Amino acid sequence: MVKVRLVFAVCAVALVAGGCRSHDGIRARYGREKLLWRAQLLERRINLAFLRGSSSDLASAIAAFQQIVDSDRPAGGVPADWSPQTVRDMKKIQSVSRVALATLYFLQKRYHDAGEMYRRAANSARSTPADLDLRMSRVRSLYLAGDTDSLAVSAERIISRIETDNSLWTPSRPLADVYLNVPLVLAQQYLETRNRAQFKRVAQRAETIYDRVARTWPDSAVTASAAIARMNLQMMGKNWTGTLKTIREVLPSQYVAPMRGELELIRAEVLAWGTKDTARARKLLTAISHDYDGSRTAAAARFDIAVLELHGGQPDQGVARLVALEADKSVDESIRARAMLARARHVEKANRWDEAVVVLRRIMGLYPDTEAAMEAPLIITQHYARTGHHDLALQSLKSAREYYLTRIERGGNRSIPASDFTDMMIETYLSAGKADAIASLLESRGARWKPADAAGALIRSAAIYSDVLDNPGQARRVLEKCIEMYPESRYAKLARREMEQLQQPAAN
Amino acid sequence: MSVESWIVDVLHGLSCARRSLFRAGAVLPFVAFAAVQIGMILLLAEFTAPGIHWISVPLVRVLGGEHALHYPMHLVALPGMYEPLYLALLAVVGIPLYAAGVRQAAVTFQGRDTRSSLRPSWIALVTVGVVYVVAAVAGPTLSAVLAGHTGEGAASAGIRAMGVVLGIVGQALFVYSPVAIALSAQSATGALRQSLRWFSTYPGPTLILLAVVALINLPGTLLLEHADRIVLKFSPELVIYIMLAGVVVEAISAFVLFTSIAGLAVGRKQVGW
Repeated sequence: MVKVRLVFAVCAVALVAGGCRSHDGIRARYGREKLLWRAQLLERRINLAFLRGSSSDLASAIAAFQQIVDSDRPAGGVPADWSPQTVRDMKKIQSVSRVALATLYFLQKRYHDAGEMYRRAANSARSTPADLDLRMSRVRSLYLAGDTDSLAVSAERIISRIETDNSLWTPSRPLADVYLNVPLVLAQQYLETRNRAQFKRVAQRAETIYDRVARTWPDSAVTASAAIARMNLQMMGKNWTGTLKTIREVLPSQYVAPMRGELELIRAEVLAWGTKDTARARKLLTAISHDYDGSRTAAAARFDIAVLELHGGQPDQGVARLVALEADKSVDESIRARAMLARARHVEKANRWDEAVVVLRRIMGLYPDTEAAMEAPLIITQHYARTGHHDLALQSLKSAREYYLTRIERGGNRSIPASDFTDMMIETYLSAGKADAIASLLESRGARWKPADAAGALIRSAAIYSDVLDNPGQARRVLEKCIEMYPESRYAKLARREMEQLQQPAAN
Repeated sequence: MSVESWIVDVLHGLSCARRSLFRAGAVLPFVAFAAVQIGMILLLAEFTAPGIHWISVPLVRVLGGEHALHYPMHLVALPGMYEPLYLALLAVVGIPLYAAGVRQAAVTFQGRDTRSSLRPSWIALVTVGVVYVVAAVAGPTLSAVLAGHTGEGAASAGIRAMGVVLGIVGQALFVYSPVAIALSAQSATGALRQSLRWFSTYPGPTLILLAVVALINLPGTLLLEHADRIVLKFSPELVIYIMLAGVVVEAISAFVLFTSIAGLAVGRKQVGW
C-alpha cells in the first residue's frame, strides 16, 4: 500500500512540475490552427462552388481569415516563454492566412485590399521563393486597382529582384514566363502616363533580362517566351525594325510552332503599316492566306490584303476582296464585320453615303457584338452632324443610345468590355454636340449598371463636365458622389486624384 | 451441452440483467465509470481549456507526441491517446466499480443482501482487472503486429479477425473473476481460478454474450480507426462525439454483460428460473 501511494505521489509531482510551465504559446497556436482550419474549410467550399459564385461563403471566409490576421501578435509582442517552434508555427499560420485573405479579396474584386495583403505576405516571406510570386500577385492586384504609383514601385522591385537574385538564374530551373511580362506591364504604365524617358529605361532593363534568359536557357520554351515579350515591348515603343528582327529570330523555334501563323501575320502587318514596305507585306500576306487556309489568321491576312489594295490604288480589287470575305461563312464574324466596316468607310469617302449607311446598319443588325458594330452608330452620327443634318443626327443618336445602353447594362460581352461601349457612346454624343446630355445620362443611368461600370461612368461624367462643359463645380459634385458610392473601388482613388487636379488651378 | 441450452443460459443471464436494471445501486457504478471516462475524454479533447491545461498539455504531449498538440492532428490522435488511459482506468477503476455493481445486482436475483464493503478486496479487484485487460488486449495487439507485417489484403484482414476472436476468448476466460470477488470475496488467485471454472461450465453462453458486446461496440471502434478520414471529410470535432457516444454504448453493454455473467455464475436453479 505504501508503494502504491509512493507511485501516486511521484506521478503527481511530475504532473505538477510539468504543469508549472506556461502553455500559453501552445494554447494560442492551437486556437489559431482551429480558426485556420475553419477558414480553409470555407475557402475549399468557395473553390468547389466557384462557378456558382457563393458570395456569402466568400464573406464568411474573408471574416474567418481576417480574424486570424488581426490576431497577428498578442499585446506586448511575442512572450519570451513561447518556444521557437511555436513562434515559427504562428508565423506560418499568419503567412498562409495573409495569402488566402489576399486571394479572397482578389476574388471579391477588392484589388486594393488584395494588393495590400499581398504586400504584407511578401514582406514576411522576404528572400524566400514565395516572395517573388507574392509580389507578382501584388502587381496584378494593383494593376486592376488602378493604383499606378504602387504598381510602378512593386514592378520595379520585381525587376530588380530578377536582375540581382542569382538563385533565379539556375540553368536547371528556368524562370517562370510570368516574370518576363513584368517589364511589359511597367512599360505600358509609363507609356500611358506619357513618361517616355522611364519607358526607355524599363525597355533597356527588359532587353538585358531577355538577353540573359537567351544565354542561360538557350533553345528553350522560356527563351521563346522572352522573345515574344521582347517583340511586344518593341511594338509598344514602335521599334518596327527591332520587332521584325525579333520575329525573324524566333520563328524557327519549335516552341512557337502553335503561333507561327500569328507571328507571321504580325510581321506582315508591321511591314505594311510600320515600315510601309507594302510590296513585301503583300507578298507575305498572300503566302499566309495560302499556308494557313481556313484559319482565322488566313482570313485576317485576306482582310489586310484588301485594305492594302483599297489604299494602294486598287480600290475595286480591294472592295471585291472585302465582299468575298463578307460572304464567306467560314470566316470569323468579327473579321466579316471589319470587312463590312472597311467597305462602308470606303464608299463614304467616295461620297456614296446612302450605300454606306445601309452597310453600317447591316453591321449593327448582323454582328451587334463586334467592335465594327460598336463604331457604326458613331460614324453615322458623325456624318449627319458634319453635313449639317441635325434632325437626322438626333434621330441617329436616339438609336445609338438604345444600342449602347443595352450593351452596357449587360456588362459588355466576351470580347468587348462595357467601358468600351461607354466610351463609344460618349464620343457619339460629343460628335452630335450633346455633351450636357451624355454627362447627365452617365450620372443618372449608372444605378442600373454593374458597380465598376457605374463608377467608371461617374468619372467620365465628371471629365465631360470639367473638360468639355467647363463646369468644375458639377465635376467636383460628381466625383464626390463617386467617392461616396464606391469608396473601396479603384475609381474612388481616381476621383480623389481628379479632384486634386481640379483644385490646383483654383489654388494657383 | 447443446446450442439450445446455451441460448437458454444466455436468456437467463439477460433476464438477470433486466431485473437488476431497476436497482439504482447496480446501475450507478456503471454510470460512475462512464462519467470517469467522459471526464478523461474531455480532459484530452479540450486540453487547452483554462483550468486544466496545466495537466492536460503534458498528458497529451506524453501520450500523443508533439504533433498531437496541433489542430486537427490532435483529434486524429485522440482515440490513440485515450486507448492506454482507458485500459488503465478499466483495470484500476472500471473493474472494481463493475464488481460493486454486480454485488448490488446479485441482490435482485440472489435475494441475499451483502452489506459488507468491497474495499478490502480492492487490490484483488485491480489484480484481476489487470489480468482481464491483458487477456483482452493481448490477442488483438499480437494480431495487429502480425497484420502490419503482412500488409493490406485478405490475409491481413483474416489475421485481424483472428485477433478479435482471441480477444473475446481472453476476456471470456477471466470475465468471471470480478464477479467471483463480488459474490464471495475471494482472493485474486482464487477469483481467477473460479473464473476459469465458471467459464468451463458456461463456455458457449459466455462467448455468445461477449461476442454480442463486441459486435455492439464494433461500429464505434471501426469509425475511430479511421479518425483521419472523419477529420478530413467531416468535422474534426465529430471524433469527440463518436468517442462520447461509444462510452454510453459501452456502459450499457458492460452493465448487460457483467450482470448477465453474474446471473450465469449464480446459476439458474438458485435464481429460480
